[in-house]
Amino acid sequence: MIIMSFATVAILFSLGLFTILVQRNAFKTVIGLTLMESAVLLLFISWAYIPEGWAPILPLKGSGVDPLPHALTLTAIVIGACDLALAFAFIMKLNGFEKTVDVDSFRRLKG
Amino acid sequence: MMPLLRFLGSVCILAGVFFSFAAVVAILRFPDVYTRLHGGTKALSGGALLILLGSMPYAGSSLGALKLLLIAVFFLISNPMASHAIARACHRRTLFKNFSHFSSETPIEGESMRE
Amino acid sequence: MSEPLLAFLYFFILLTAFVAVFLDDLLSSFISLSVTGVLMATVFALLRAPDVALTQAIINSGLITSLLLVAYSHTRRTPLPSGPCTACPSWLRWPLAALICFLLAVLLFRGMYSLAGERALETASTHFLAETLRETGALNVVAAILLDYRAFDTLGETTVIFAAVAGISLLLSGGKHVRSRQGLSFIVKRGMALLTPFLLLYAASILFLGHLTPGGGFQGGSVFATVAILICVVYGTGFDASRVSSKSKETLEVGGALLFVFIGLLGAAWGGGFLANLKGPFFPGTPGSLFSGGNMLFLNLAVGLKVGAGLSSIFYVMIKILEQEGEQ
Repeated sequence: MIIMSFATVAILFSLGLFTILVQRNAFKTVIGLTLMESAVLLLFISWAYIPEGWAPILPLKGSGVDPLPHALTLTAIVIGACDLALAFAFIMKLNGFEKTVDVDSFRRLKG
Repeated sequence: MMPLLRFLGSVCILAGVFFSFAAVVAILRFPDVYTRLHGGTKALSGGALLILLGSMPYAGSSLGALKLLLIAVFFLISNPMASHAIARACHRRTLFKNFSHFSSETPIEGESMRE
Repeated sequence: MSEPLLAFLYFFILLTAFVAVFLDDLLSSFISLSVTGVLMATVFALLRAPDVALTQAIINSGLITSLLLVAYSHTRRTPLPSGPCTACPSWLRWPLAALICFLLAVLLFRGMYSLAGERALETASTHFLAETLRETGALNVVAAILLDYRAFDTLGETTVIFAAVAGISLLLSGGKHVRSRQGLSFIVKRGMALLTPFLLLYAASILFLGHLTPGGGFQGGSVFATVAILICVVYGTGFDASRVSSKSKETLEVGGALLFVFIGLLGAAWGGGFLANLKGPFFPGTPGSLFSGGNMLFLNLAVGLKVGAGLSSIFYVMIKILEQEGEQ
């Protein structure tokens, strides 16, 4: 079962990277970034899962799953949301200058 | 008593799945935004309500069943409100105001925005 | 844990991700992305991670989608990219990128495959699961790790939120509030007035009971920010801007950070070290009651203030720029 999770993680991560490389709309770049972050979160949580384990709320009914990657994932979700909001602000500001969201036309620093 | 309630719960969940599927078909196949919204709201509210009510016998405790009931009440209040907001926004922008897409003549220019 | 159910959910996660990437209509791809977020929250809940599932559902599917829609409606009148790019033609771009991503996927899977084996808990995790009640007095192990064992990392995370809010306010400065908005119709306003007390109660219960049940400062603060966004959308910006100024939101945010540092310094002054819990002037209380867990209640409040005020001021800054353009 964990092989299934790892396969999903690998496919989701490379799909996000493909989006960032190929798509010309800046919003699709942000979507690709979201997918990459979601893949990493899924990797943490599926790594922390122990078969026949319970959620890490005391009193435990048996053995528990690993609680340390859960804390790491919580921090990662909030930080990911903050950098996505900053990316939206960048897109809005660049749209004010260039009047388009095409990433191929952001060429002021070129050459 | 409990197996009978669980059987009724399963029947409710299956009916809810059918209603939600009908809502998806309505959103895909109806021609106009108003008809799509109508089908989506009514069928979706009914479907979600039936699924939530049907899973009440399967909850672990009576507290869990009460929480599911509260979620159903909240959904019943908020989903029609949201659909009303969408429909009113479409109406204010005079989308499809003359229903001219049902006839063969050319569409007339809609009125300006009312505040 | 049923494998067919997980396989079904993974298949739909990948399907909605593909739809979000390859669809030309931007609004549909945004909705598909938010569906991916909700499905991932379901997977997290099935993999016995209730805290993470709650956070993912609230932040990724709720807050990020609304910020995305605000950014999209600001750029709506500019034309979408079309026409070929002369610098790197598309017949070179797509296959090369596909090859690179395929190789990366194979490499990642091969690397992760060697990790899959018999899972056993590490020493740190067994210590956390066994000793949390005795060492902190709280019942939620993840909250105890975030606010007691690794509280310094949480302080760093609030710094990241502060940096993001400062950066966004700097980038999008120079607009002014338009106060003549009407908001939505009467039915929606009355319905929202009925629901808002319960939403606020829900947010407060997640925040204050974070050391007992899944939840905590981040989740509660995000629900508070969602309520602020809803009030702004339903009642119009004139309603909120006249009663709660942006200065008070900044005060709340900075107040949250200062409260966090002050509690840490209290622990240092008592002799237990910075952000000390039971070694500082805090007492554990009876397990399972509200006033237990030492300083975790106050740290949750500080984090919730910071996150809630920060996220809602991000939204208000974006809306402000939106109305400067003069659209309605």
